Amino acid sequence: MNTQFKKGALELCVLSQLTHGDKYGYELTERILDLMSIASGTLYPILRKLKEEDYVTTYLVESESGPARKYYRLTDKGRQYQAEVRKEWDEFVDAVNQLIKG
Amino acid sequence: MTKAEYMEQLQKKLDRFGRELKEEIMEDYRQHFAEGQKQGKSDEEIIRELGNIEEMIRELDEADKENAREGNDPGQAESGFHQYAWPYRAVELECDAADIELERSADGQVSIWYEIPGSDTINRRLVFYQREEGDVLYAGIKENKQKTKGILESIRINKEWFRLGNPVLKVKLPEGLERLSFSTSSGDVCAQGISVDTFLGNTASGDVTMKEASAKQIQLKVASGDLELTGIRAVGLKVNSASGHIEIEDAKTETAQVSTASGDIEIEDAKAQTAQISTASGDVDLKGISADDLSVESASGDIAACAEVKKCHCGAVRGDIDLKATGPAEQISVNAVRGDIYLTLEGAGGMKAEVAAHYGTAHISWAGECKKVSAGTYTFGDGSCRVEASTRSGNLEISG
Repeated sequence: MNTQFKKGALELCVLSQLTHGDKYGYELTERILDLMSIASGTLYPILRKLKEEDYVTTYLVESESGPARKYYRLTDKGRQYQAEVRKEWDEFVDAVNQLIKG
Repeated sequence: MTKAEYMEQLQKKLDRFGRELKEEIMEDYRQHFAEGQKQGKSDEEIIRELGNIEEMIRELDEADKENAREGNDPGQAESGFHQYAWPYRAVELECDAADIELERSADGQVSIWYEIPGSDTINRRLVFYQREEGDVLYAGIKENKQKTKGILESIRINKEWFRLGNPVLKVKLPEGLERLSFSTSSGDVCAQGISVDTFLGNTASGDVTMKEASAKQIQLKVASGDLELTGIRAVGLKVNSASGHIEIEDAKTETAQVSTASGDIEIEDAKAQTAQISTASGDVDLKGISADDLSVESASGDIAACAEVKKCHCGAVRGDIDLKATGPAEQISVNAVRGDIYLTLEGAGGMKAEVAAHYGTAHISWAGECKKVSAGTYTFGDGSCRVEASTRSGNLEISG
């Protein structure tokens, strides 16, 4: 698959997961890995980039055992961006589906 | 591989990145291990999940490249105005999807105006430029394709352009340039009152509209756009379109070449010494034409022409030919293969006609008298105009 395309899709997946509430890295990657065969490691650079572009912010929460968890939270800008990209995605998928049918 | 080995590899491969980035990714991986272990997963399982380190590094590299590109921006596009002191020998304009508007300048200066209606998303992907090389001025608006990230973004940009309208490059030019050339992909071009020696233009899907242009040579080429020319004064005019229509009104040239593959051609009120008009599958409609030597060809379209000619040739394969020749015509040949031919001579003192309708019928009327003829040569009046008319399976009618 076209890597650009895949990346765009992964970005959308990550952002969409965060619309349902803040999540920590492992939680996010597990959810995506459940449905897609990707290397979880590649999601960390994506998360980093989303943070650099101010689509998400992070905060640490101490956990009872082990290191503190880094949580990701969608910013207003990120929420807006997610909605835009999602709309485009839906339209794109609709178009592709219609064309596949003939 | 053990967790320690994996983490060591990770550390080495992250070495070439900044310390802050390296530490952040290392921490992400350490956390990932900790969480996985809490779920009761073995290190091996976790390593398999995290996957190939190289793959992750590629992701980082790409993000880096994107950042570098944003940093070295050659100049963000925004609406702006630039003026240049005359004289230039030539001006070359180039736009992708942007439109070009050309006008005559009143003050003898070249001025360039960029109008970008888009939002930031689009604008940061447009590059506009103007530069001088010797006495040539170059200007244009181009899309920086490298900065367009992936399919989703392309979709977004195209949609936005559609919604907001194209960016526009507006240029005012003084008279007397040796050469003006433009090219666009989907952008339309509109030129008014331009006077140069050589005028060259081409577009892919953009339309070209030209009004009141004068030049020694005008050459325009479009792939699927339409061409509309009004008030043209030129020595040589050459216009070509692959699938677009061509409309010309009020043109005076010494030579004219107009051709399309599948578009129609309409010309009204035009004068030329020699004119060659051809289309593969479009129709040709000529009105008020005056030419010493006129040649019209169409493979499957119809030809309808009303022209004052000395010499004229019309050829069609599948279409019909309807030619009304006014003025003292000297030589006319009309050939069709499957179509019918209607030829009217107005103004000739007589004709010597060689006719052949192989499978159809042939009629000639002269001075109100009509007769059916078989293949052969017939003379009427003073016989001053030589007519050669033939069709293979169509009918033939000549009147004068």
